[in-house]
Amino acid sequence: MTPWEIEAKELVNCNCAWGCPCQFNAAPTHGNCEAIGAYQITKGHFGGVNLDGLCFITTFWWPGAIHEGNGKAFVIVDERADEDQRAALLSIISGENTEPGKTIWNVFAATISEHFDPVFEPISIDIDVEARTGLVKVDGLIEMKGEPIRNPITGDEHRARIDLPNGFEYAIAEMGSATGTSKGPIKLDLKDSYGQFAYLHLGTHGLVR
Amino acid sequence: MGYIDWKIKGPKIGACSCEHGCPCEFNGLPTEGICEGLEAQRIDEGWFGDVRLDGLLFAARFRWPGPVHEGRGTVQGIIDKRASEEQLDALGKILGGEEQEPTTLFNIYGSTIETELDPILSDIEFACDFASGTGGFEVPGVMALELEPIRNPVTGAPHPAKIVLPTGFEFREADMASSRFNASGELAFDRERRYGMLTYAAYGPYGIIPEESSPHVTG
Repeated sequence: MTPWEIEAKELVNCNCAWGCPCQFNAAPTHGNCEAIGAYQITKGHFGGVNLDGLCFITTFWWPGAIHEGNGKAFVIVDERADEDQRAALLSIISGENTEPGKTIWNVFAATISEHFDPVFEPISIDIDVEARTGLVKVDGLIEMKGEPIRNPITGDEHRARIDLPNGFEYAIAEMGSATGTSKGPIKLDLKDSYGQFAYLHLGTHGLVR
Repeated sequence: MGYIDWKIKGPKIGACSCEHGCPCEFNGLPTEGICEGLEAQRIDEGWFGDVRLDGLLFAARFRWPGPVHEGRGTVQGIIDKRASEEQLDALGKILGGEEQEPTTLFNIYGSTIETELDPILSDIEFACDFASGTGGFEVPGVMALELEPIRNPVTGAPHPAKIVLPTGFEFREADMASSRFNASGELAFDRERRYGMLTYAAYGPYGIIPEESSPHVTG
């Protein structure tokens, strides 16, 4: 296994309600899972390949709960990545070079039955985890906006966090609201649904603590 | 205007009809449209003016026809039958939202209640173990709650999860659990594998007292 490690900022938008029941091993709000994830690596490497500053986006669709399988996956990789960096990122996102079950991508890999060919595009990502705001854009393919959840009565920002001590994606995630569209081979139209902001620190053996 | 000085502090457990993790904690809509459930707290340390409340237990069962904030709820309180007249009066005032700000837990939930059933005086058996993520309570013959860890649907391994609400009015941090609960009588229900939570909470006239609640204190 090639050792790798990345620190990244993440914004995820899925079709579940705010707080996404799947974080607690419950069934998805609307019966199935559709999700866009945007990642900006602040620091990372894959063997001797430097991954600092690179971005990628994942889009997923499952007909039911994720663990029931039959999912589809489509990945967009930062066009600034050179050939080695592209191969490295695709390996990580495919769940390769990873201890089984230890990263979200390795877990998801077992649930995907259709992979679309990745594309390499300019990706614009601006995420502020503390403020729970984010803007993501890939021309013609992805638009996503994240914002704080608001109190239904007062309109005030509602700050909430989920901590998963044994998580395979994050240890701490700030909860938000997000709206996103995907026009690639997986077409998604998500509105004011689950938004997740987190700092990820993942590697060959899973969460780096 | 000042309030009579009071505090209740101790482990608190609860459950509702939502999925594990309850969307309402995130201002989402309840999983099944309605909200029903039950909760209990043990007072490790408590007083109301000169009246000590240490060691007493109280519980409640509740139902709202929609999301809690839309109101029209029904609630019934259960008070430890060991409580003296003075203690009963004190707990009645605290749980009824008297001698406290309008923004406390008891007043926020209270503002959503339309029907209050006569309280029950009873023994209450109570357990809460943060280390194993288990607990429960029973009002004999009336209602019972059991909490156990959430489990991974594939591997069966326990799935520890916490919800953290930095400005929460009920808890600042709660351990998530899977609940099984039932109740008979006017507010009857019977559910399993639903939202459950364990927390340690201190409340006073100005609401939750964070430095004496989870995660700073867990008993």
